[in-house]
Amino acid sequence: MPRFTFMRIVLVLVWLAATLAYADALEDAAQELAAQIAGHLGAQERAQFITHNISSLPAVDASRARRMIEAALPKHPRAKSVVEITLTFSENAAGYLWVAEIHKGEVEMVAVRPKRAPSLPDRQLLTKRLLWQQSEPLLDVWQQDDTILLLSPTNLAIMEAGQRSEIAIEVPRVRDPRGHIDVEGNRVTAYFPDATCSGTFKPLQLVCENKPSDFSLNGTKVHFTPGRNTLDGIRPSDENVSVCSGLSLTALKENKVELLGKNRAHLDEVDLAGTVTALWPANDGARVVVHNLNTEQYAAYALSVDCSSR
Amino acid sequence: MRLMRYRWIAAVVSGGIAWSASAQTARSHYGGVLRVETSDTGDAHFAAQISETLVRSNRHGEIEPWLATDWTHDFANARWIFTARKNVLLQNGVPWAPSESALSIADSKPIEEILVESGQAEKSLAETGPFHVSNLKPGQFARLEASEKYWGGRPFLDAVEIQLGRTRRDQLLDFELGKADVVEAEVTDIKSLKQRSAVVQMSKPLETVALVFENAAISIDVRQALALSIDRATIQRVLLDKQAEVSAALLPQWISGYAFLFLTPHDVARAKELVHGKVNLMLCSDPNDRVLQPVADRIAVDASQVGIVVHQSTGSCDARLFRLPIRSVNPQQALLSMASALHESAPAWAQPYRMERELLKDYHVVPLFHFPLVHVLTPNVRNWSADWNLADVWLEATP
Repeated sequence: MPRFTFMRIVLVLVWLAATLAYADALEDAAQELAAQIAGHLGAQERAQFITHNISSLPAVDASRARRMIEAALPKHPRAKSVVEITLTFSENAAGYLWVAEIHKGEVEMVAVRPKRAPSLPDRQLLTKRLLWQQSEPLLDVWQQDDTILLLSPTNLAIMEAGQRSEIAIEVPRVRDPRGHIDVEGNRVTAYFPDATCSGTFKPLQLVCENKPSDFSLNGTKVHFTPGRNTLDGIRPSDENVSVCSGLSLTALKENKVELLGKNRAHLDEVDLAGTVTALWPANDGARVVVHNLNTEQYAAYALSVDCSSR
Repeated sequence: MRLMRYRWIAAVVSGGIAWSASAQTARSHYGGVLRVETSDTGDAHFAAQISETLVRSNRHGEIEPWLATDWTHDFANARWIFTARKNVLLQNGVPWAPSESALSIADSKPIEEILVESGQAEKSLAETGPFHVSNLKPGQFARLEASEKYWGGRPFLDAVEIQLGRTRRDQLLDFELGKADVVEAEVTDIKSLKQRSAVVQMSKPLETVALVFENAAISIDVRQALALSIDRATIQRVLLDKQAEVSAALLPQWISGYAFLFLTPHDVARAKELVHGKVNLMLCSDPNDRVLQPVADRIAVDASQVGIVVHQSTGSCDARLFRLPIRSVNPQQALLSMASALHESAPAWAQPYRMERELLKDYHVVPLFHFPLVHVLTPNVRNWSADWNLADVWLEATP
């Protein structure tokens, strides 16, 4: 199967799973609130709803939620009186909050999580390609064919044919975590400011020791400064990724990676949905990790540079 | 056996509960001394930077593991046993080794209540925070130094110097003179500060302005009448530059999600019905508070419409107008902390709405507005958040 097609399928499956979880959360909340409302209704009473949506819940989901609540209420065919219920779709810092004001002076409410329906990950096909997106912090990513390695401050995960497995990593923490993966054949090495972990990814095995080690960046031996977020062996201003024919990629502008030519002339740039937290060299360009402060998601992209015209 | 286990998720997301006016364009930088001023005289702002609790409330108000990594029942199902985080050092460099009793809590109430209580600042277990105090003049000054071996990663700053008990007017003066990097400002200062191109950072509402009755002899009818007489909307529009939220709830809508249930009627006719004869009431507020003083004046005018004669006082008070800080985004934790600040008995554990309704039921406390916290920053300050998460703050290097 072509690599790109496989990645699309994986991303769509991830999106589908999140969407189903969201639908389940709405259904569960509707059932719970309906049960609470039912406790206030007599055998001769039926509910009549007035709804307000003061949250970011999409209007279509609010309508669906109302129908689910109505459907979950017990039916009283011989009900003689109507109880007016004001149903408000609200939200707070933790998620949605659905509030039912029953016009007998009672209030019932139910919290709903996850808060939002996930949106299908964005894809750029020309110079950047989305590899992965997650809420957990992401330090580096490596991808080949249908295998993706994901390095976070606390684990190394492998995604293979849609299956995820991970191994925990216990290394000293730094305030602004950085990490880097090198892969050679089946051997994988993860570099951190105060530790180095090495092993294999098939099977996933790692041994960590609390000392930094050198790795290569643009042909220079560097290592993370212990307890810091900087690299020893290179000036911060030179922390870029060299690509073909004297070109380099830098992340000095907010939410962008720039392609610079000789004499650091600006040649091109890609927009990214978040702050660049990592930029590492890859075989055909670079891999970049961004953190979107609005969605609180970390995303990894492969950046490809067309060197043929240089 | 029931088992609750939470995975610790690295909290590298900075900013917390505030938005920043300045853009982050470079990798976080280590070093430097941050100079902060506050009108507070206590250590409430920076206590969490020095000592830590088993769990804590995150920016979504969810309780997450902190000095404890997880918790489970003992074999007898009688106690909750918390697991201590490894590799935590005390400020003197000695490994943190809590006693068994510190990590064992009787299962006498819901685990949610135990966790909320365990995360309250007064339940801090040990001085293990990202900073340690190197110099303290109570009520005046504190210097915090970075703890090099902090388990969550060394803070970016080398030190923080905090001037305590400074009036907001003096703070702005110090800022103008270059003596401070971060100072507090009033909501009514926002427009003029923005016109001067200052870096102004405004949080979501994190302070509740409320009228609190201290004299138990004031009847519930009079308390309710005063609440009904206050024209919050006009005060918000005219005196507060529309920078505050009108509310009758203790917690703002963004934290609770149900604040809209507490209505703010301005009903002079109903208030008049509740007052029989002339009522005198002594109202106190901080004479140095240049925002609340005019609000207190306006309350006196509104009250006079319904037959309540309000005298402003600095001595004995029937009621006091004051600011209640919101110390947590977790609704129940915030309400317990407010009850303690108001010297009210803590409401029974329940859904936050029911706890808040219990606190407000007899008009001893009448919430009026929710204020954002306003800070003015020098342009090189990054990642400042209204919750004083100092460990993530950094100073951009000067070229």
